[in-house]
Amino acid sequence: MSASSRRAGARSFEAVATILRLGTLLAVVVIATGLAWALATDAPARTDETVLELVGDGGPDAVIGIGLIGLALVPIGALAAAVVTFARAGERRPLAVAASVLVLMLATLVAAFGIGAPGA
Amino acid sequence: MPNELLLAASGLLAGAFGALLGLGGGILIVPILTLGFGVPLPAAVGTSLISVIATSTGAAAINVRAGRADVRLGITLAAGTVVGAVTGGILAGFVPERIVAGLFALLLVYTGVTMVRGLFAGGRGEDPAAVDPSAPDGPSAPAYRTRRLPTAIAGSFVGGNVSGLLGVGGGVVMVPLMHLVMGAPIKVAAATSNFMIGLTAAAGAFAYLFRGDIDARLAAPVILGVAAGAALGATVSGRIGTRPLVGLFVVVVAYVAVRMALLALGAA
Repeated sequence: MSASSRRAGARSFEAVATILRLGTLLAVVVIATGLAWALATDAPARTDETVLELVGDGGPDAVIGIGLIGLALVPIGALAAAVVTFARAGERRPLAVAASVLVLMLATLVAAFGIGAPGA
Repeated sequence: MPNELLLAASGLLAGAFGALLGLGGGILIVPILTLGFGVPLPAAVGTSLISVIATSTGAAAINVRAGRADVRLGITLAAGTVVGAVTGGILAGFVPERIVAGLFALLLVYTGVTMVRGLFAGGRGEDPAAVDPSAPDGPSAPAYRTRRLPTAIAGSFVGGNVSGLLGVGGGVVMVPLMHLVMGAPIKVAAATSNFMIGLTAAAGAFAYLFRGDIDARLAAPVILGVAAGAALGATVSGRIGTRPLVGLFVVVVAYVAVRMALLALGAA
């Protein structure tokens, strides 16, 4: 195993690593902003609401809610990047598996969204 | 001290401990929230799941870039854990809290025993040449060969179920599964499990998020603490011996297991 092949192996998932790192950082910053806003304005906490209701109502809890949704979407983004990586490399079997898991994750998201949507 | 600071400090502790011991931190977050802050178990589980995503994705970025995590294997097994996590997340809406507490107590005992056994095993049987998943014979294929994939996918379903129902990452199931059943090197198994935890926890967290079982004001400081703790733990992990930590962890886990068992029995 050569050093160049090791580097190539790690490099092939560079996009996955980048989405994981930047996505997490962004979500954490959004959550921190919402919490700082809530503490600075002493805004009352809204409990017993779904994340969609929080986001719809606005205010600091909406910002935290957006951060929470964003954080949950980071692994899906990384999975999508892996699908693209496998497609570009022409690796059919891992591509089929990754695409299936991605569809499964998106279906879960849509189903959960349907359950939690206001008026559902 | 304001509640948010205490929550963030608890998250920091759980995140640092998790990073140092190769866990997601959920195994500590759920008991801390339930027993320490009086948070109802479903909200504690949901908050833990979303926090665990932060620890997983932060560390997975480093592991994937370094070539330590086997992305192909992780995604393949995620097919099982994702279905399991969704099932667990849905089940959690129906299973009585006392049963969840009892199952969590059992999980704590299992985790403690696994950690102690790992201490005494000490990497026995490890082939140093095999501990390198970044040696591709294709664009992203690892150097070693894994085995028993159907069994592992079935086991992954169980790991995902544990995650969705109890709010943990599922690493306590997935690492032994990949290492002992599939034959992946232990370091690869740990790094790959870390990568998978984000996918598994996200699948489970959707149900909690959209059902209203995650209190945003509770989750925010915990997530920030956990993210900071995980980064801190990862930074100092090379400089701290894990033996005393495992010893402390086992004592904490034993105490928490008893408290959770009492909660399950209605005596807490």
